[in-house]
Amino acid sequence: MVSEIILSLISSAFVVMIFSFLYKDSIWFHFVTHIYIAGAAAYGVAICLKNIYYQGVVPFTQGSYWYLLALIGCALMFTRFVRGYEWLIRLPSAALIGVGIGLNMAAGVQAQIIAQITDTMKSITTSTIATSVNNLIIIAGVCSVTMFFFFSRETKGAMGSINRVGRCFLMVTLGSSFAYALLGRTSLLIERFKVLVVYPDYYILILAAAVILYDALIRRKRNSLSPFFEVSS
Amino acid sequence: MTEKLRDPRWLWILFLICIIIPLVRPIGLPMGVSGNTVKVYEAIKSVTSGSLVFLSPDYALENRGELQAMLVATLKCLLQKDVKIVSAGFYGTTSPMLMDEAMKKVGLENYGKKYGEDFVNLGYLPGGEATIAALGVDVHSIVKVDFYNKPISEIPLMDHFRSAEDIDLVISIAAGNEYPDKWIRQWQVKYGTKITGGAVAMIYPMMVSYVASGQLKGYLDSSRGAAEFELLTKNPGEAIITMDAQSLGHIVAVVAIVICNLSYVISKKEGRA
Repeated sequence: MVSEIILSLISSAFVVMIFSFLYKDSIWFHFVTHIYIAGAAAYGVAICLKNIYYQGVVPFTQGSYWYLLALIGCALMFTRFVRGYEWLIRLPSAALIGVGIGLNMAAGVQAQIIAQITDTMKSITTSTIATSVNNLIIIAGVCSVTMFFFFSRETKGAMGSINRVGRCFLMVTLGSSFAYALLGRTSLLIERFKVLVVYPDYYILILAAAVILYDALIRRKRNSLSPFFEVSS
Repeated sequence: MTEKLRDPRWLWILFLICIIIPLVRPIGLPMGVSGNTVKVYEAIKSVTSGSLVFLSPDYALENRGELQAMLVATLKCLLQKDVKIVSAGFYGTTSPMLMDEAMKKVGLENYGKKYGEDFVNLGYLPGGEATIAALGVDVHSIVKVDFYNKPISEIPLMDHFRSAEDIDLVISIAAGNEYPDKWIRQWQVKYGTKITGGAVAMIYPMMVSYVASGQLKGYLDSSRGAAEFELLTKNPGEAIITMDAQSLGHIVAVVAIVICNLSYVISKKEGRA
């Protein structure tokens, strides 16, 4: 229980230190970002080593000798750090790119081109007016935006009008993306504050607010550098 | 004075106040359930007893705030059914850690389930699309141990999961559009597996076209979708209590956008912009 409270307080203190960037760039912000990067890198390396061991080394030692190819490919990825042998990284990279494109192309045509085009072939004479209007908007949107990216004719006359309609659809799409971005970022902020406003973590929030206020007053009074937040250059 | 008021930090303070107040004292603003959330619920409901469901947290630690509540709500809904759950993360090394956190929070024992018999966390599987494709063909050639380093030959549930043919539903909770894309390309197109899930708000508009074409059986929209799902499944949780703060935050944003644009138009007219 005590350990949970301590961990929760450390977590909240780290959140507040990150948020201190909103007030000004600070040593606290740099301190926490460095810890985060170090922790994430260490965890990533540990998981990758585990995967290499269980998915490469173990099968090889159990008699699946062709796993040696995978292990050699893995080792070649590190040749970029060996002067004179940097080019060897191209071998596993080429294999990865080839497999990736092959897998993507094979099913991608059906999943992302044919299925999507098929779904655009909608009837505009349905039983309800709302559905008909929706279908019409989808057809108009797809056609006009596709024509917007047709570059072989000058955008004049009818082509210009279609272009403008396409641009409007694109604007609406961008607007919706921006709004969704706001929704996502607000969710992240709320999730953190949900932790900060409960006992005993709100003491960290109060302490941070007091430090910022004191710092602002000192800076104003002495017209000097911030005593708590200044980053040495 | 006017220059000081133009400091964006005032907007931050206002924004923070508007999200903190409803977190401390919830207002209880009304909330509806969208059609896409209902579709996700129906897709899960349609899974028959004893089936296998693949629950994939395709996100990393940085998306925890937006997607963890969704993962917990989905897991609770699945555990209430007589289905078996296999989980693996492909997006980032931290994704299985988040699955582990969700599992401990929900508590398998609270639903009469056992790890290894009803649920298994296979951990992080590197390789992205190639691994998803290979998993569809032969799971046991790809996965050797679970997240806790236990050999899968010792996990009874893994006897029932050998390829994509054994899975009735894939639930991909994703931080980027590439993961629903990959599941659709490698499992939906090839094996006809039903796919559903949820995503961060940024990619939700891109996923809607897959829902319209029937390639995705509904899709949850960030924390809003998670809250709707909690409401629908009668499992109130982390997402639903944040919705008041979300709504008030959005009101501040909309008002700020309107004021800024009006001020820009007025300044332009006066020849100051």
